[in-house]
Amino acid sequence: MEKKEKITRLTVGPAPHLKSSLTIEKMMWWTAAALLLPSAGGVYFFGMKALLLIVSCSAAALLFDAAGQYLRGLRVQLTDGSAAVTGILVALILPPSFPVWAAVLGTAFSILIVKHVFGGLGKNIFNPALMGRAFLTAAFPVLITTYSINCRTLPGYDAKMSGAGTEAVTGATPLSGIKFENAVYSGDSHLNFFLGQKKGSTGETSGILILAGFIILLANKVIDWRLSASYFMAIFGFSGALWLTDPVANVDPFLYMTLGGILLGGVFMVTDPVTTPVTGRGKWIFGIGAGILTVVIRNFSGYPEGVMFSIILMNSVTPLINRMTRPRIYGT
Amino acid sequence: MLRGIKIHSYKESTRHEKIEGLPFPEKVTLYASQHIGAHSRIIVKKNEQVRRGQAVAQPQGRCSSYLHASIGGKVQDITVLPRPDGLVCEAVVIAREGDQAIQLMEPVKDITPESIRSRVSEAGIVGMGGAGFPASVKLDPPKPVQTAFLNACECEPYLTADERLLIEDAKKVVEGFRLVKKAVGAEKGIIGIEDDKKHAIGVLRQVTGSSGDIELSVLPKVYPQGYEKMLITAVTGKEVPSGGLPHDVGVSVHNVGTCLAVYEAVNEGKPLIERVLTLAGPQLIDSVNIRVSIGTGIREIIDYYQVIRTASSRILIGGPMMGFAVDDIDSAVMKTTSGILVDNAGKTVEHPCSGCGKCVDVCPMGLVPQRLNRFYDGKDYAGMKSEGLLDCMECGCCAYICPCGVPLTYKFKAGKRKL
Repeated sequence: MEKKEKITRLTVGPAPHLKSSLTIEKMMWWTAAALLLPSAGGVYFFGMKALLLIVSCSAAALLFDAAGQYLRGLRVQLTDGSAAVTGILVALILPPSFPVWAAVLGTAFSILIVKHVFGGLGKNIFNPALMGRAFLTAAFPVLITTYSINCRTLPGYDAKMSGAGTEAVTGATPLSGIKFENAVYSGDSHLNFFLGQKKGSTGETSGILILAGFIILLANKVIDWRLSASYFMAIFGFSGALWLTDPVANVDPFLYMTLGGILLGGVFMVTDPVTTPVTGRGKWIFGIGAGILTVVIRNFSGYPEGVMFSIILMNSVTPLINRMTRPRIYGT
Repeated sequence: MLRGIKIHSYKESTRHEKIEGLPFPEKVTLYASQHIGAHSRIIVKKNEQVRRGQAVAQPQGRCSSYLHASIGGKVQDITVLPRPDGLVCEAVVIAREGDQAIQLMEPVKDITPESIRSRVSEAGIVGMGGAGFPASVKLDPPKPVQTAFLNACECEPYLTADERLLIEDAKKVVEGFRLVKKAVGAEKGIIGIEDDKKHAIGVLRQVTGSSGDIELSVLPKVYPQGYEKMLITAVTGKEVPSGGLPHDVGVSVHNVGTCLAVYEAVNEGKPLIERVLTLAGPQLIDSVNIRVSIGTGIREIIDYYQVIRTASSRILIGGPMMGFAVDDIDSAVMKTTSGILVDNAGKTVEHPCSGCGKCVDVCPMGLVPQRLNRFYDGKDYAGMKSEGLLDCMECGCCAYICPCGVPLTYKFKAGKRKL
């Protein structure tokens, strides 16, 4: 038989031969882009210290991620953006006055212990940024509750007009004000708090910037809306029910949602793909569970805030939720 | 509601163009295995003269098929050759010579289920959608069938061969479907079609119009709507039991091209020697639907049209979701070849699974691909089985959607082979 010469070399590969254009790199960089909004808010309200914190934590995260990959004998690559996202998140959930050296230590814990010791990208059980903060909460209980940088007021805001509003800018965070000092916030606090004029962690204060990031993430299909929706709905419902039973002792649900880390957590933490369930029903259960736990910890424990522990607790039962909510296989 | 994926169809370049005929090729390669089941037994000798339409191979056993010369000429060789999918089997190579009139069989006069089945067998008809199950066997279901389906969904991107057949030859296809319906003993016939095929739907409405025995069911365009289990569930609400076949729910599903072939075999006495396929893809100057002789070389077809070849050129047989990439351009068109696509291989970088769960949302079978993937990586193939691996139909939705570029479908195919 005659031998035929091959004219072209053909590329082969397994089906399917079409791929969706949404890649994990794009998802991570969209997340980083969305995080720039609350980061910018942090810099506006708390000044250059906030910027220093964000830059050091993200640089440290990239460095520790490279070190972690190197120590595990992997090829070092940082282009997936996941370490940068973790670094920025760590900075955003720390008080702006938090010492940089301690923040870098927390980032090291996030990346080296929570991420790499558990098997690296995609294998970690707990949200690295939240666990980093939990570590710092245990290690530096005073520093983590010290909010010594005053919040910059919004243009046109008259401090003499509202007493409690001023307190939120220079005194304690509104959350500990409510918890420990029986502070009551007047009607105009809703808008000011939502815009970001209050004390709090670096990136958590401005609801409007976080929600703008939320829209970016939803529009690009980076996050699963069910996780955020169930989380917000559970908190709104639960806190609303508490407010209805006792409007004096409890904050109304609208103000409640703007306080602390609920919006930041609901947009950037509850939606972490790695540490949350893969099934549709599982995502609802996760969000509702984390929402209820957030309110329970906030209102009925010694801590003023419950976002961090609620999400970490739900992270720990994610494998169980996955197992229990498997979809029914067709034809069975 | 079918989960699946909304996917760009890429059908616009071919769906409005008439099916083109291709000149007879210089030679054809007829594989003795074009179907599921036992290879056909070759009954011609080297150097023998054959007429176009003459049988060159016979079925061995019940689940097998006849094979006919698709061009007239001389048997140049009988040898073992690779098929487009890489499997090697015996093949008859015929060099074209002389007269190309088809040697027809007598049309079937007394139309009964038995006479239809035996003619379908003599004509060498196999399922033309891609699986290639011998049609005569499928027309003899082991359980009573109440409903016959004509599957006109053609949900794979790029492919429009069935759609064009319906537009140009709807009467014959529907008549063929009536024969199929009679053969399987169904009272009811349903044509399932996706709602983007506006022209074909219009033609079908006219053709089936007042008859009442055939119903048109227009379904939303979701991939993989054309997978038979999905089609059955979308129309009837019934689910084919796990591990079962459509006849377990009293249904029998048939392809458009197959129904046309049945019509031609029964009423015109024509054996299955040619088929319509879509030649498309970004690397082609003109995308077309063509009618080609079975056994025409892929190289010949591609060279007939203008193709841009680059280092990363890829030739796919079938659709881009479930089709396969060819490594030997000298292999030939089979009865099951529904399309030839020429495109460029994109670069996919694989990352570890991020656990986003998009694969779970799209799996039409209700599997958890993320979990199957974990078991595969841990070499726990029994674990994969208990997670429903055998229910996976390899539609490719999970691998399509995976942002991390994990070749999920490929891993599940590999997992099945390990069992």
